[in-house]
Amino acid sequence: MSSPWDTIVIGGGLSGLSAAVTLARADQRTLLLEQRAATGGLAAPGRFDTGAVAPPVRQDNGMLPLGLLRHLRLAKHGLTAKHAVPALHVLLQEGGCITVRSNASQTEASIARHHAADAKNYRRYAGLAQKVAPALARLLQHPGPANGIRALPLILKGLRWWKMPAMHELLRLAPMSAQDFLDQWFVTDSLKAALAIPAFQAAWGGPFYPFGALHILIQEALSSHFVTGGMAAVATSLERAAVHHGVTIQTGNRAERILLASDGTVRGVQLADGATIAAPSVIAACSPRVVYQQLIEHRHLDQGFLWQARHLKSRGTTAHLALLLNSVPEALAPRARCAPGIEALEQSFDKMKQGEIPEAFALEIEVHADPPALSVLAHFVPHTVQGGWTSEARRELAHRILAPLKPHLPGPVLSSRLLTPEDLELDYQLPGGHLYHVERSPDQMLAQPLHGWKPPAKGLYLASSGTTHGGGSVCTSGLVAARALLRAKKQSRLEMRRTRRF
Amino acid sequence: MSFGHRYDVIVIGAGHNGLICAAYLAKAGRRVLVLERRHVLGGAAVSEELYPGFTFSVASYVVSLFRPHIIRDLDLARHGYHVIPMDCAFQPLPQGRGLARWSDPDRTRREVAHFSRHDAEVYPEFSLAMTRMGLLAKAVIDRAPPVLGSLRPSNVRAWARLGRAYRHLGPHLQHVAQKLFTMSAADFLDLWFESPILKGPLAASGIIGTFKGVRTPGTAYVLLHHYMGEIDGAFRSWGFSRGGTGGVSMACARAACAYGAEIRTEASVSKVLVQGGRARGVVLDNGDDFEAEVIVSNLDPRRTLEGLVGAPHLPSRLTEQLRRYKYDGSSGKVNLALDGVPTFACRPSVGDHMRGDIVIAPDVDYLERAYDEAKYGTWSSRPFINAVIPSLTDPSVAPPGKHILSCFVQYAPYHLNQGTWQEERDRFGDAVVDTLASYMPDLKDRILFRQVLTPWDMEQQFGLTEGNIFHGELSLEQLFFQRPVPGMAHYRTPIASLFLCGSGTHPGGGIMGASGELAAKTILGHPT
Repeated sequence: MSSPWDTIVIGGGLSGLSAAVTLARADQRTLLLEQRAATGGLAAPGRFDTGAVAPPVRQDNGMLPLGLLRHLRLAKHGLTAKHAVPALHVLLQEGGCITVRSNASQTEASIARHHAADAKNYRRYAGLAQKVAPALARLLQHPGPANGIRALPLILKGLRWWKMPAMHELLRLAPMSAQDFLDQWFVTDSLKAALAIPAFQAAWGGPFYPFGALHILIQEALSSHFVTGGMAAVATSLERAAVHHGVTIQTGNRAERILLASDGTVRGVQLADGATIAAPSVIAACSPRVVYQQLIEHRHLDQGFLWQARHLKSRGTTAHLALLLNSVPEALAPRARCAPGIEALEQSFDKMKQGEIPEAFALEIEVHADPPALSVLAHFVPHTVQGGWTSEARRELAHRILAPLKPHLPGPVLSSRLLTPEDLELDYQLPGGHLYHVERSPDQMLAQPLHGWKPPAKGLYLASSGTTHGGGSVCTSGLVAARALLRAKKQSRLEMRRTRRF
Repeated sequence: MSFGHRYDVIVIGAGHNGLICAAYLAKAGRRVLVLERRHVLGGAAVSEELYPGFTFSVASYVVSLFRPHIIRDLDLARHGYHVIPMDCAFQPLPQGRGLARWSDPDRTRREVAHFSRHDAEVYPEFSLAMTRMGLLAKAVIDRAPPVLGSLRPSNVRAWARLGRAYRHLGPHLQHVAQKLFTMSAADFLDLWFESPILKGPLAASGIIGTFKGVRTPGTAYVLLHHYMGEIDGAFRSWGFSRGGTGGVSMACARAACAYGAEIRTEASVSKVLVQGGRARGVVLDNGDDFEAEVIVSNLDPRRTLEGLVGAPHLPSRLTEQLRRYKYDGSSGKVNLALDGVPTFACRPSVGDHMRGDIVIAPDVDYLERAYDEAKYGTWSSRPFINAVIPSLTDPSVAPPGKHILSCFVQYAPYHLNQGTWQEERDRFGDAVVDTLASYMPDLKDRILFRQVLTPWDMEQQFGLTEGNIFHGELSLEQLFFQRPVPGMAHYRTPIASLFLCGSGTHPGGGIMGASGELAAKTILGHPT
């Protein structure tokens, strides 16, 4: 079947854009379909009611792999990476503030003003993150295929099995809860709670839940490369790169189904209006749950596979609040965290479980300058609150999120934009409303065939936060999928040549 | 230094693991002395007559995971080991007939079908998957754990063996295994079932003895314990020991004596004597001392190393690790003597459903609420209860017409945020009886005697640190080659000639006997 397209990419988020750029640079005729009005997905800026630009939902967590930015040549398209990790203010419940910097002795001095022992232990804590960073980086950010026996050298290298003490340490620490993990070093309750926040974003669980330590370690170890302008800048430069390399982008165009031939080979994509576009391969850069539950007809999937796909967990517990301000709040810039304390957070989690709005939240705050605005991620917010998200419930939620920040704001809030997990689900097509598409719990981190390495249909590849390489470390999954696709094409070309010759 | 007596091996503590270890060592021709602090043998696997005519399994109350090859090796059947299988797990409910799961799969299917047709269809598939998984787990628990990073042939072989067992599962079950070892019990059951009433009692078996909720990751694999049990070769069944669980310990003790071991009760060890990095002997509270080539401790790691050896003899890294080793006892026990069989409101007949496990875990949310209360340091006002009436199956434990109701209760956190366990004990006991009475209205009128064991009591009575019934939390970072702490997983300690054989070593937990056996084999230098 002849077709104007070599590949269709479904979803114009960061993963979809990276995949499209990689393909287009290899001279593939690429079509990118985005259902929203603009590309960028969670990294795309929004709008306040006043019309001003609102910061995107996704915050820069410093986990953009630098090598990847270089590989996509994003610098040419206006992206600059910062090598220094920007300061992080931790607002303490008992008043005051600790500033965490990449320079450990400055951090130590800042903590020492509140607690001498914590300050001393911070150095050991930071040292630990550095010790396990190489192993984690190799395992999570290596953009290679990792399947079966071929993965073995990679994993061994990643684990550095000859460095046993570090490995033992990692194996012992990773299953711990955030509470047990941080109790080993710190006493200051709200410092512990603030450091625990990465765990809440990754998987469903409070600070008492096991494997929190794993997520904290991943964040501490891999967070190193921030970009100027935040995630919106990444999205913009990726889009520019895509256009530059000749990707055709169709926004406001939603894929309804991935068409498969009876032998399970990709034929093309059916759009919402019923029109079909033919293409021999598809990269699905949207939530794996959307792919397996909506885009593919179930008769094409193996029973065991379907069973697993049906049970992908994606219980979102994070809400996003964007605030438009008069001027930049210097006390919070460039980023801040604020959390009430470990036990109080666990209580918030319990409230959330029961579908109530908790009293206090763990907040991640990113300050934007143009226009002056705050991006706030709040954990734990129920997906569906008892009685539904009425305007009253939404007001109450925004009010409670804002309460601890009020003293630090320079003036009144001009406008705000609140996205509950339910809104995230509807606006961004994220079943369950989880920002990483599916929870990054250990059982789902291991689920390789679901996550793109071994796609269920020939010519279909998965790329998004919901895949093995996704979740925080954005873009990698797009690159991995595009490379796997190109490799497969090359192989089939070679095979074709061989059959012709004989 | 001169010693009063010389032995080849001294075993400190006559719990079932200590006795099994002693029996294996005595069988191999060693001169063994077992020292027990209490007047009875068995540690937490003990039968005591707390009330005239009633023999209670005071702490541990059912037997399942006891390794069959130990029974054969030590000829325990001849020494009185006798376990009567349980046929049923019954879950009473406020309305309806409750749910009984039987060892006969067809009967279970019919019962489950009352609640969900889908679940009834899936149940056999679930059981099959879990039984296959159980085979993998058996490959893990029957041997000493391989360690990371050692290229010794025996270690490489051990890893290869595990790899083969894993590969043998096939792709689908491999995914199930990955999920099983990392997920929470509730999430794992969600993969199969829809009925909360079925998921409740199933999930409950994932939290027994741990301080975790049913939605806490890492509880799913504990479900396996219900699919690994073997009694008389019949796979996956639990049972009562005749004469209470003390019967198992007594059989082990008789076997040990038959092989020539010497057992002394009311001999509390106060100190292990260490000279030049070697354990030389022990000193009792009354000042008696004994010398031995090898000392084996059945106590938990902290009691052994910090209590008996003392921090000065230990590397500082280990002291730090031991301090971090989590105990967090979370369960209590309520033992009742009754003057007749209590009646369930939902299924009033005295039938087979009462002869097995009685589980008060009406649904997953009930269990999660019980945990939510406990994690902040109060006991659960509506606890999870696992009760048995052993006297219906084994009449020898109570006078004719009278019965014993033995309840395992969770959660009862060792660390209370208000008050002490001495003050709270009776109120806790009342809450348990009230909960039970809501299912068995006539229960309160039948109670002749009540014993309430809180985690604090268990620490005092059985020497279980923080009342943890498994000598340390069964969480992933404290299991397998990391139990009790990384680098000490082979029953050895940094003190040469001092070994551990209690539940705080691999595989740990339950009346398995594997720790005792594997420790003995390590000491004898036999391949494990």
